[in-house]
Amino acid sequence: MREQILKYFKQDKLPHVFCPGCGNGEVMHAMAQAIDELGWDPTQILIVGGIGCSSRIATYTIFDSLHTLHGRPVAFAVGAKLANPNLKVIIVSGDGDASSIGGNHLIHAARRNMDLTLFIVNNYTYGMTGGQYSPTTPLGSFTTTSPCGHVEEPFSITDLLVGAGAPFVARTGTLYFNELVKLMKLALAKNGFAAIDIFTQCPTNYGRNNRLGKPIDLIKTQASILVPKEKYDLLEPGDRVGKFARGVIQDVEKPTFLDHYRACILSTRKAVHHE
Amino acid sequence: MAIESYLWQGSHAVAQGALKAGVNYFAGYPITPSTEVAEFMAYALPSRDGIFIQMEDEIASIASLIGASLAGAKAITATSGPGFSLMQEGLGYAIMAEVPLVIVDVMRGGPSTGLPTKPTQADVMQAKWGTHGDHPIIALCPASVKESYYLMVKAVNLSERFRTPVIFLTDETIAHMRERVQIDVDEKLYIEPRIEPKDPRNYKTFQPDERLVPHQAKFGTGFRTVVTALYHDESGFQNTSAEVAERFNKRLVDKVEKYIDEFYETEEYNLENSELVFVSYGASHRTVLQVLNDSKNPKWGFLRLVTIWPFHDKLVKEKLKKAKVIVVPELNMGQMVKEIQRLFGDTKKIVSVNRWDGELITPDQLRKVAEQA
Amino acid sequence: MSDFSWKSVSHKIFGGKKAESIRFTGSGGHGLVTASVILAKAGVYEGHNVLQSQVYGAEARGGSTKSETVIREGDIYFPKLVNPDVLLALTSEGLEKYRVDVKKDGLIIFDSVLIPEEKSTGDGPFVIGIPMWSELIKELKTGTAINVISLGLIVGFTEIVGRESLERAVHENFRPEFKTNNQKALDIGYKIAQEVKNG
Repeated sequence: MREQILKYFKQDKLPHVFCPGCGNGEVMHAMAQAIDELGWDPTQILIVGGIGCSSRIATYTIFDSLHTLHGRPVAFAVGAKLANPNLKVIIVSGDGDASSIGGNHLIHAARRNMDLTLFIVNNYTYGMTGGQYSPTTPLGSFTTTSPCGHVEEPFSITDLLVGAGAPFVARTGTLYFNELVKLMKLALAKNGFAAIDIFTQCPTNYGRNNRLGKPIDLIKTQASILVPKEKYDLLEPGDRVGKFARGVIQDVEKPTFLDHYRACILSTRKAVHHE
Repeated sequence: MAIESYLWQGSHAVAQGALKAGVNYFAGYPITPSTEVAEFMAYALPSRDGIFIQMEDEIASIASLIGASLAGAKAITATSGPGFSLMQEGLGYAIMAEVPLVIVDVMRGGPSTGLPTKPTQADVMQAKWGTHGDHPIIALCPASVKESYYLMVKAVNLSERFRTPVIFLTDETIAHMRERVQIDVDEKLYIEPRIEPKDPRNYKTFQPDERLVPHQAKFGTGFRTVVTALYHDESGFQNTSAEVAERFNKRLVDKVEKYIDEFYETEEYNLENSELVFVSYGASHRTVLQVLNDSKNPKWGFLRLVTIWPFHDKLVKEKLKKAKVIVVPELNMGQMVKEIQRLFGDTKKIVSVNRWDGELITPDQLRKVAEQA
Repeated sequence: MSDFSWKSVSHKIFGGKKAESIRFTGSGGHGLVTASVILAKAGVYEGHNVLQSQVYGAEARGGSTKSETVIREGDIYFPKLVNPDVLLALTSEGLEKYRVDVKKDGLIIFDSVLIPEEKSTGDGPFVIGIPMWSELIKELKTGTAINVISLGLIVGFTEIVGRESLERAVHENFRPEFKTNNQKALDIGYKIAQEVKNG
């Protein structure tokens, strides 16, 4: 098992930069396992990261890798996919990278149904810059930029993506490793925009600022936050506060950007050129 | 085919040049006065198996260009001042990660929203220093519709030759006007090929060749290409050591500036006999041509900068050595004139003629200044 | 209408040479930017050097527009007209703004329906008001071809390009269903110009 996973990483570059207890290692592991189980040709995979701790995952893999700008990995990925539609393009991005600075690119890639797979590693904070609040930081929690407790409501990234039209949206956490692998396989195999909101732990910043104990205690908090989708749907609105649905949240079939574009080319070919 | 006459708009000549050079990817965001380029590409690319996409903003546009270029496309965008400002982030990335692409900047009046529909040449310094850090930049500037076509081919070629973004710096006047263009659209022009590495075993993404340019493999070709805009070693893996930063940044600048003679382009007239030389570029060069044509003064000449950046100190100094007076007309408050002042200091009389109200410098205005200089 | 007949000034109009430069001014929707492009295209068909430009802006959607066409044998350097040979005006605002630029031996054509009152100074350009709008309504029941009748008038007065080239450029620019009406609009323009020229 260890070799089966390690073969997807640049072993001469390990150990990675992540802190002890960080969830990024589990995400890396789950991703490699999902790709291995799908039996994909590694040379046809492009992995794209933004800026932030989790975005560095891209640089440790043996795939073609593109470590981009803060917030922009989805937009870079759009270009690569359109230029070479055979590429399997995977984006690894954090909550701040994907939904704050990159929020505009996120919703429009979902709306256009770009055939991309996006893993949002959501630790409710900016880890690399030392633990500031992000769009998913819970109300009242402590970060270096919310020393009196956070005064903003977080949003649900999956609600955002469903609203934007993404055909595949899921959520789970690092506490549910096997489910994570299963969802990743579904997302990767999906023809169209597929995203997973992966709740994960940042013991160094978010955990310590909120006195949440050891990494394992932090992971365990996911059990009270993440509720299986079927149960979540039955909750009264008041009981949903502070809780998030877990599992497949949206899974529909629809034509991708390139499906529509190719159909358009066929009709354009019939048009008269006036240049 | 033979030479035929067309009525082309400047923007369309830019787009035609891009297609001629093999551009097959365009991403952009609507902005006056550059939108005609996008509209032309939206029409032309699908039927040529190319990709046109109107992205959510200029930041995304250039980001997608970088992704597309690294996946093997020849990619361009077109924008204007405010949009060019938003693209500075991606421009820096493309310089750092050595990604070929071309940004067409149709200059309009600034700062900010400024004069959307009127010409200026106020982005000369934005083109050079708009993105942060020390870096090389190649910027080309056309002065006619016909030249827009050929110069765009050159811009795409240079981006491939040097693996670096090239700025095509045009302006509202040249981009929006229409001129008769006599051209053979099937004429064979040199198109710079993208050099592909051959052996995946010894491949390093950023291993430079003898001309200091690395040849990255396209994504999806089995080379394990590693791209980052962090400082990185030849393998492409992040490395922020002092030694790597020192070496890498030096090569980045040298790979363009050491080879400046290969691509630096000027046009000149009567420099041998001229006591007064106009140094001009783009739309304001048209005023110079009118003044010289009307005055017929045998002691006046011009040096037109076709390559705006990098600035070729040695060549420009040599070309202007006989001039006693240098007149620099610009549609800004004096940007390029500072390069001339830097070269000559007080040794020559340097006159800056400026206009930033969205109107061209008129032949009368320029002639009067020259007569009094 | 000018107090002076065309015949009395025809020897000195445009300095006795061929007109080379036309400025159009109207309102967004008149189609005068299109007219300047069509005229430029006709110039290309005749093998001349051509430059066409326009002022863009909110003007393109109402307000006063400006577009220009230069057609000549020699090179064209400065891309804007300082002193045009001809001004064609469809709004009072444009006429007042640009009339001072017209060459002293030039020509100003304005729509005497859209611009009811126009004082001729007697000195300077030949100024002529022509009821383009009502002529179009009378013959075609619509004024949409006002840019095309403008072109008919300009070519009728100046012969800056041949009629054949103009007609080719006009008909190539619009959908075939407009061809009949556009030809009629051109013919009206030519005819009026000829009548004025004949005095």
